[in-house]
Amino acid sequence: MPRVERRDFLVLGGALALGACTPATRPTPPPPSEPASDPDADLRAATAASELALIAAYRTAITAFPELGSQLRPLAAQHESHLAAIDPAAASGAASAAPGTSSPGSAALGPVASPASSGGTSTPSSEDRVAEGSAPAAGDGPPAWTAAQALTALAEEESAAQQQRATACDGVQEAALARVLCLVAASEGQHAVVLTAWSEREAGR
Amino acid sequence: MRAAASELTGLQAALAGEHAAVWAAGRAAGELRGNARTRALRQLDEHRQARDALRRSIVALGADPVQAAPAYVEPFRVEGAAGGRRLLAHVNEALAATYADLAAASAPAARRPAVTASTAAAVRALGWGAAPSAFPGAD
Repeated sequence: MPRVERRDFLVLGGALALGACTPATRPTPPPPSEPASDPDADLRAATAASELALIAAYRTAITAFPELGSQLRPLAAQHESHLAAIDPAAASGAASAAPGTSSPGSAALGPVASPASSGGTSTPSSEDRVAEGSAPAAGDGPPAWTAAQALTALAEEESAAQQQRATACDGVQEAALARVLCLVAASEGQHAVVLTAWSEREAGR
Repeated sequence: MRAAASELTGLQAALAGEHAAVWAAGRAAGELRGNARTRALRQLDEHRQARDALRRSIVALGADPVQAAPAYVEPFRVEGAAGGRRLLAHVNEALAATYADLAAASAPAARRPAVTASTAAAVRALGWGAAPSAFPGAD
């Protein structure tokens, strides 16, 4: 995780001030070699990939448990909003095909069902629920996957995402992106709480 | 230098938000009963602690911390438990966005406390009945 020191800002600020004072000698900016022009490109891409993975996880859960759709769809839509705010290009690409620029991005495109988290409660079973043919058979071992467990798994993914956004916020230079990442962390913190509450309610049925 | 100035602005805004939250928690507690009232009073303490920490940060930057307003205008009619909850949801959503502004105004290495406070405010808002939001307090 690259950390940007306050020092770097002072250096940057100094360069800008100098440029402003002596426009004639202002150094021409380096030719915009595409990735280097956005110092936050990596974190932007990683965050976009993570949002895509979350959207895919919601899609998987809704496919497996259509009765959760009315609850889950609004949350999934909020991740679409996150994605659009963080990386508009990825957001438009998500609808069509593979952005395929980063490996986490391409991982997100697959039918990602099992969260990276250790949990072990969340592998969708294709054996018990073969009925919906579209449910991706991501797991090989088939522990029964209940709606409550699906909600818990999503809650865990949201918590992990929230932590990632907070960490990313420490690493980006652009203030506007830092603000968005902070708000996305807050949103995902909310999601984790509601999903946990829903999971407990499901489990109590 | 300029970064410090915008960070100071963000800190003052967050302090003003915590002043408002202290008022709102007290106001709402008067409308609530039982566990909800206990929770509101606990949050009142948390907002006071946050307020005091922000004051210290502002003083450390050599500035005068903003004062609480002598009176606050209720954003809507606060009546009964539902009104108290709604007030706390409203104030905490606003606080989530205010802390996001502070995070943006802070140097990267100094952002984390504001990010944590923003998420905490958003989760408190949820607990008082706010709906989950893509950008809490800012959409």
